[in-house]
Amino acid sequence: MGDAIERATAATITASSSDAEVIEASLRVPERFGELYDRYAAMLYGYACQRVGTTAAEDLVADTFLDAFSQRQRYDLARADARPWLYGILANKISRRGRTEKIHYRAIARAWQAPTVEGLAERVADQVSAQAQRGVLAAALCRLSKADRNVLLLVAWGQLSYVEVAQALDLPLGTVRSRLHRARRTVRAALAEAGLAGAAPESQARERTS
Amino acid sequence: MDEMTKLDDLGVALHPRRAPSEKLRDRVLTATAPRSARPVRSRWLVPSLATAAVTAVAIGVVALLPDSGGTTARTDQAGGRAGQGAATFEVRHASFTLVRSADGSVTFTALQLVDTDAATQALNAAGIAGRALNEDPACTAGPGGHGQIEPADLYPPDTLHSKLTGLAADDTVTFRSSDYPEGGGLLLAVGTETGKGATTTKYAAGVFAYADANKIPTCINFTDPGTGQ
Repeated sequence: MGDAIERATAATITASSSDAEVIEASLRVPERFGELYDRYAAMLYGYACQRVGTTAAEDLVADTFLDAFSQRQRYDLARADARPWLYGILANKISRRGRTEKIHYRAIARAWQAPTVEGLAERVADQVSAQAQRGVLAAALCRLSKADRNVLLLVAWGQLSYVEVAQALDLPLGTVRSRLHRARRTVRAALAEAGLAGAAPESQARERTS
Repeated sequence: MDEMTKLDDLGVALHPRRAPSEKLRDRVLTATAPRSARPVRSRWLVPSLATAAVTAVAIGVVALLPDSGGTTARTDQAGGRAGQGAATFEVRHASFTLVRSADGSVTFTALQLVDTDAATQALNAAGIAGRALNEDPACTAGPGGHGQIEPADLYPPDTLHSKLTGLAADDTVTFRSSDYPEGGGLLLAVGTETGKGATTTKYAAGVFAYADANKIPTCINFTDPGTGQ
């Protein structure tokens, strides 16, 4: 009975609870962890698809949430936002599948160098240069080290700030900056080599701080 | 445009149009639920499906199927009710609703990616030949092996473009058996629309009329093979 009351009480906590509050509540009522899934599954799935394609993405996202669930006792409840934690788990899993990720980027590079499919011309006619650019970028991502790629893509596609990336990957902030700098330099060079430069100097680049 | 903006562009191009599947949600929530709260679907879903197949003429039966998503958050209840005679009825399922009006028109609303067996059964029971499918990015049928629809198979032929626009427009579609010729049928397609970083998912339904029901595909994929979007 006491357990039922506790569950009912927990259920009345609204969706406005912080991630940390949800994680803390899930230690008593495991079902509460589902709220975290509903908040972030689409976001993580999108990120995983971007990095490894749709086929592998669902498994990675499932494993991420299952690992997060089993590790939730160790979550730092002072961190209200669980996104960096979840992205960190996912990014490490993706890194362990470096080959899958590279195959994904190579396929993109090839696809966007291929001729336009008949019948879709009107939808892609204005995107020829954009496609070429994407192909070059995908090839450049292949050339990055796993560590540099992780940092770059958590900023670019995960929309994490530098501080959040440092939290996600458990790295010093300075290391995040240096890896990002190196990765961006590599990508810029690839674009320039392909005649697709136009990159702004590093000093003009934005830093996400939110 | 700096390299980060260009990477943003690549990220948008690679972002999936569909949300993670209900199976994924089920998989995660089942694994994280206390043992006593885990669904025992395997023990009773199969007999229910078998019953549904045998009594397909009983329109409300699909409404009695449990939510295949097995979620605790969704509160859709089985509420199918047979109307008077065959003229009008409504089928409610956790993943869709289907209403057949007295004038023969059928209105379908996708609440999520559908239980395709249940949706096809409801469609056929409403007097519409054809099948319901969810968009499947792994589908390699159709022209070029990209899971695309062959426009020449449609009725009227080559109506793909306008129908595709319709697909992305709404989660509710209305159709009737007169939309296709004798021997034909409808493909009822359900997909998802998600934006970058979106936390909610919009479900979209579309209808494609086929002159020959045998040419209705068994899987579909609306991702543009050129852009990946």
